Amino acid sequence: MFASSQSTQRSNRSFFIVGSVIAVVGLLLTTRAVFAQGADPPEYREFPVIGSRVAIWVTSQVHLNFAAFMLGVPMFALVVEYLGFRSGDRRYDSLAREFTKLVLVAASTTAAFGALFTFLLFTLYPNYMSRLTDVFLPTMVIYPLLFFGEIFTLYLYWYSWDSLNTPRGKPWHLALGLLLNLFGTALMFIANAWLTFAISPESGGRPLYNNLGNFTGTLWQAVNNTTWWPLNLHRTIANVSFGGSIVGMYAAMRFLNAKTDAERAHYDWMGYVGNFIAVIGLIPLPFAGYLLGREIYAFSQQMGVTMMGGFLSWLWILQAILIAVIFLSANYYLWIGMQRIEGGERYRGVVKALLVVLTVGVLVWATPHNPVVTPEEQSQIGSAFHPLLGVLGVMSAKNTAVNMMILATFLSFLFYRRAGKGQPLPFARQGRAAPIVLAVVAAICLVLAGSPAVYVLREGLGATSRLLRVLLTALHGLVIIAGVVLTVRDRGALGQWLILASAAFVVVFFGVYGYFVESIIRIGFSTYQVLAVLTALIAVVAIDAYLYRGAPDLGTIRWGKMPARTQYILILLAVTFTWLMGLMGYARNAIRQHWHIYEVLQDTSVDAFSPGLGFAARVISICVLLFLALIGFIFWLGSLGEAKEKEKPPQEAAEALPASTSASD
Amino acid sequence: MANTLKVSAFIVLVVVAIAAFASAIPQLESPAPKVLAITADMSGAELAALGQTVFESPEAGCAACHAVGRAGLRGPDLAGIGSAAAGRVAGESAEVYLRKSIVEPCDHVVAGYDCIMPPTLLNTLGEAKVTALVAYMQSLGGEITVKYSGEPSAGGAPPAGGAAALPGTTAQEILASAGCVGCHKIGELGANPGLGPDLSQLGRSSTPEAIRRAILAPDESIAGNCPKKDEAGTVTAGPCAPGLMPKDYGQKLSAAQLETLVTFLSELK
Repeated sequence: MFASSQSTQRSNRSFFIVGSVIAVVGLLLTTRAVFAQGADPPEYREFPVIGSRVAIWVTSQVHLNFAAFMLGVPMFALVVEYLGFRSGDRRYDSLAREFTKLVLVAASTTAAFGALFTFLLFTLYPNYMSRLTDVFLPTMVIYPLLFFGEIFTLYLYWYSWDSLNTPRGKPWHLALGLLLNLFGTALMFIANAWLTFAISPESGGRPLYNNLGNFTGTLWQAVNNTTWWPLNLHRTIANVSFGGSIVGMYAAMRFLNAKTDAERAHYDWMGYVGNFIAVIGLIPLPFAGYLLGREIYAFSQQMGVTMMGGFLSWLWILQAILIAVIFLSANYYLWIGMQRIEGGERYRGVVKALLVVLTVGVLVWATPHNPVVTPEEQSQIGSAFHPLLGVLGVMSAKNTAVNMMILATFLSFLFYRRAGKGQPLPFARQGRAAPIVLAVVAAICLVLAGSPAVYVLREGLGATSRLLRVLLTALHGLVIIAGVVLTVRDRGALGQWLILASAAFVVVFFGVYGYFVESIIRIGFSTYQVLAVLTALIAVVAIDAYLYRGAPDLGTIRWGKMPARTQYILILLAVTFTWLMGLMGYARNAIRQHWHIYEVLQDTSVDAFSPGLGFAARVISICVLLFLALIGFIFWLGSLGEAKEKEKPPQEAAEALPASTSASD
Repeated sequence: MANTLKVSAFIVLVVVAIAAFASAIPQLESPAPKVLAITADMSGAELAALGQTVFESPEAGCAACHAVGRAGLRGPDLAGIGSAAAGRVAGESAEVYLRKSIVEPCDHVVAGYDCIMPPTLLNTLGEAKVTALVAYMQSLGGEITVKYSGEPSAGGAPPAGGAAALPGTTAQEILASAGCVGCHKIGELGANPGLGPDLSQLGRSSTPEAIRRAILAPDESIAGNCPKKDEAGTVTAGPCAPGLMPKDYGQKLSAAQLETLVTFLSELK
């Protein structure tokens, strides 16, 4: 069913050729724009009808969506192929292959939009691009080379699938997949350097331009600017999540159009895997976002305030709504999914509690700090903040809410994972390595949780604040150790609950305590909240892996027995994710306001003002619809050639039926 | 096919719903500062015309206190200032006097007025716009003699890297150098009534965090208790004018200066 037909290969090749031609033409035109400078080149050129801003915005956003697809889906494919290799389950291999085929088709579209974007940038903003080229020229030479490396590796990865599908060949094929991902990640890191340099032209606390506007740094300093690594981290995790959500959408569309139970079972399973990967990425994403925000504040308080409290303040309310949709959708899908697992009904009651936690979390997160009031109404209130809701609009409440939502989502996964499992086996049967592995995991958690101790000692904090931080960190560390000890003594479930309860306590405690201290101290509390949750997730996952390894199955998973509405949830997840990516792209650029390079090169074009959210929403919506339409077309292209395969004996279709009953596969 | 159409309609519905929500919540734009192409070859009249634009812009905020042809709400009437300036201080030409009045306003305070004008205009506007302002003042009844000799300037750009440009280490020094007292009454300091709210007891109603945000992003929450002085001189309270308070204190103040101010203001009870 998933073997590539000759016609598909031909269409892939022709798409690659067309894409490459467009990319090369774009690069040539770009090169002309760079080197064929007249005596007095204009600072700006105007794009007809829609203007330069919208032209650049749409091409860059659609290109970035495709680039995220090109990065996220190979990550997904590599992980899934590896799982198939380790487990011997051929479904995974087929899944990885099916999506690599889609990446193959998407490559040319990505290249075409990339070339168009570059061409428009150099043509419409020659002065700005000239300044960037002065700094980044070597990377602009490396970039296309890496791109060709990525494309050729992609072709090698795809065309060697059959020939390397042997016990000896598979590790080499996986190595090719890894190389493909390394090329893609390197490309993203370079593009991130260009983008973040414009946001924060500073490295190691040292400005990279002098007062005359001359660049005084090195290439490496320009690349390794203040916000580069945080954005690299944020985008890498986001791409994993995005890749998973697109896989989920693909599976949902195929599920809804499936003709047979076997197809429905296969695409139901595929949707489950896509959602799983999406949520795995989603859980640490707020942490990475927090780190990026903190670095922006560290670079410029003014920029930080513009971002969170200035003209972009309402953007975060919209972001909260979108993330709420993602969290609730992902959880809802899991809860409904438990109904197809025999034994899943045990957790129906707990789901209601999780829904309450998530709903309250969403309400708090979406509470604006400043209400929408006229100056007269504000005079009557007597403050810019609502007397009751204003309390929920601050970071103490919001950080607490998001951490609790992450814990609730994690619990949903935990219940889903163990839904079809019976009593755990005695820990002694997990092998000699098990206690050692758990001890190492506990040690890692202790180091992570204790890492802020360095800052506690360095910061000029009051004795009470310092004591509380040390005590809570130590307490959480002790609970993790206790959790591991309980697991070894066959009380692992209790150990897990203790660790999760400890994390929730730390989150709530610092959330409440934050109201009683200065903001400069309060900001530091979020680190403890994040680390408590992160270490709890790591420890509980490690314990769970041993707790339910080899545990008896309670029954079968009825793959394919999912109501249609769950498939719409997967689609909603992907659409919201794509929209959210567009919104974050707008945020990243809008924080520079009227600067091409912040505080160095001012934007003096007609588009120098930063538009409001409504205008941004309309442009983002156009980008999302354009991207999804093109992705839909690619899905359709990918499905061509399957008709002939279906006429063959349904050997592959039989493989699509689940071999295992475990939801943790 | 029917399912594909349903899915397409669903996607469009979701996207439109998000866009509609985004359009329904408060719409805030970030305007770019007006770029004035001031060049050395400009005639006096051209320079004065640009100067009038600067005078009326919120960025400079001159019109908030001064008027031409009638007494301003807080500052002197500028009608005829172009000729009157020449005789104000012995040995100072009109051009020198006017420039000093803008850059170092407390050196030349007109009788009957307090020194409430912020001494930060050169920092905020840049040399080119200050020159244009002088030309505009000269055009009010005098001869335009000032020339701009510098490079083409967008004006007002802060130094790269955001280094603190304002002097002062104590709260009082910073309040003076940042020009806060030009608009706010702060205990014994400052204008009374000022353009902005009286901050003498700010610590009673605002947390340190709110004060910090109000300094860094003044338009985020517009206070409702600004003094309003009508032409009869009666003072009432009402909503403050958005856009009047400079938004670049985050670039001008060092972190230590900012925290000194926040601590000082939050202790005013």
